[in-house]
Amino acid sequence: MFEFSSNAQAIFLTIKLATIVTCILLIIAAPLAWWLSITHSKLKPMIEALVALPIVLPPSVLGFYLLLAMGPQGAIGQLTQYIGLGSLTFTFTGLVIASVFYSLPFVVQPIQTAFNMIDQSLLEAAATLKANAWDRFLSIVLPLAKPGFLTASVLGFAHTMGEFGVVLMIGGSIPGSTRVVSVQIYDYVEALEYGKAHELAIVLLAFSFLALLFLYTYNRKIATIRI
Amino acid sequence: MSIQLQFQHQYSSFDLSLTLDLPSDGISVVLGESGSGKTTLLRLIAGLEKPKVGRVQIGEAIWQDAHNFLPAHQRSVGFVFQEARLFPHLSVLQNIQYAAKRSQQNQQPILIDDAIACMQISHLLDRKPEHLSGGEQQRVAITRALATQPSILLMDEPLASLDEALKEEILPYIASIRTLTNMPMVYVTHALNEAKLLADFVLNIHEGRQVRAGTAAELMPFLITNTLYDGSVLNAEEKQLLRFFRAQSETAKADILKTLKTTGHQL
Repeated sequence: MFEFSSNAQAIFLTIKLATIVTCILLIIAAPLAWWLSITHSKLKPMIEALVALPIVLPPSVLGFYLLLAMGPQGAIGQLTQYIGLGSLTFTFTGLVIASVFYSLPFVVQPIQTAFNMIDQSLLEAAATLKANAWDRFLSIVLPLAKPGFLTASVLGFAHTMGEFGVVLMIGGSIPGSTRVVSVQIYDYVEALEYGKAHELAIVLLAFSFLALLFLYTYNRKIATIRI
Repeated sequence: MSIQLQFQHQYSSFDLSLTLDLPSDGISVVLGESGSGKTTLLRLIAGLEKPKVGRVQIGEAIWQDAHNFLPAHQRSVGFVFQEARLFPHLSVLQNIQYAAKRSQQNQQPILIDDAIACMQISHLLDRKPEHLSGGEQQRVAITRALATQPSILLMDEPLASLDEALKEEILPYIASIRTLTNMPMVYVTHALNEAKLLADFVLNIHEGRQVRAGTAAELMPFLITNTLYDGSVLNAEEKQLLRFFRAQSETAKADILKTLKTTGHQL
């Protein structure tokens, strides 16, 4: 019974983490992707490269630097201590922040692709129909980019569920706080409890496959990640 | 009400330089070949492009002068583009309502129902744009432009993307806008037959400059005859006529021109 409840706890924690991270990412990514899709700034390649970095970087590298940044001597750590939150390393909040960085490209890129696919001439037409820039974004851009937001949500959620290296560096393995499914599986394997590892692993495998199957079936055009 | 326009604008191969005084009602047709700056002229009036120097005055309203430049969404224009540019996620009715909801006050508003009846699209209101033919899409686009209650209607070759048969079908609808409203319209085209059918006033532009302007009665006979010589303003059908004309001997040409004159310069 104990194993079941600790598995359930890990699954619940993972879903909670992925949900919060996906929501935060959608809010950050929408304006960022819009800016990237319309700007002619020389900074654009730089920002795009930074956003895409977590795709190619070993999670342990990303986790290492985030650990330093969130630690007592790091910039984020100093800030959180100053406002009375203490250090975020080995906490759920720290995990959320790290996951936001880690999954950022998987949310920004589909939305940016969807924005790029919007026919700019429609926005001109909307302007002649008296819609100001904000109005055009809400009434034309967002509805037409809906497939991109759907893809971004699924990828962001699935990718956050699957993270391991960053979690281990930032969060460790504290039950109910930072022990997510992927870490739990690792702990089982280390303890040579393959059967229990299998129970959780099959759940992640099935979920990830179904999420991608859904995307590639219904949303082909947007479901691409560029490195 | 008067319409005064003045633009200096960098254009691809030449500078557009126009000072125009357009009549305050009826249809002014801007005639010119492709790349003469016709479309740019409309975009400058609508505020979709910003000229180096410009002044736009529509009646009392000044949309642009040395100090001010009103963005497109604050100008009271209706714009019908070459392509219908209907919003694909909205139905026909929602496209029209999109414009109506954002429309300005107008002393003599065009009733949406009248516009829908005039363009004969009442049976299409629930459809999505993708389920409309090209001609139907353009009729919806015209209705949508009218629903903004503009003080001037700009039309940029609205028939250019349609085939010949559809053009014939749409032209009467455009002519019938005059039964709905007496607002001024500027209609851009390179097709003489469209100008012949619609124009009250004609402006001929070439490489960004006005070469002639006058009422349709004054200018159309000249333009039609002239076209037979220089071929500057032609659609496919007219080009065919031109080839035929050029193949004739000089005496035959003179005869044809004489006949054209006596029959009222029909092509």
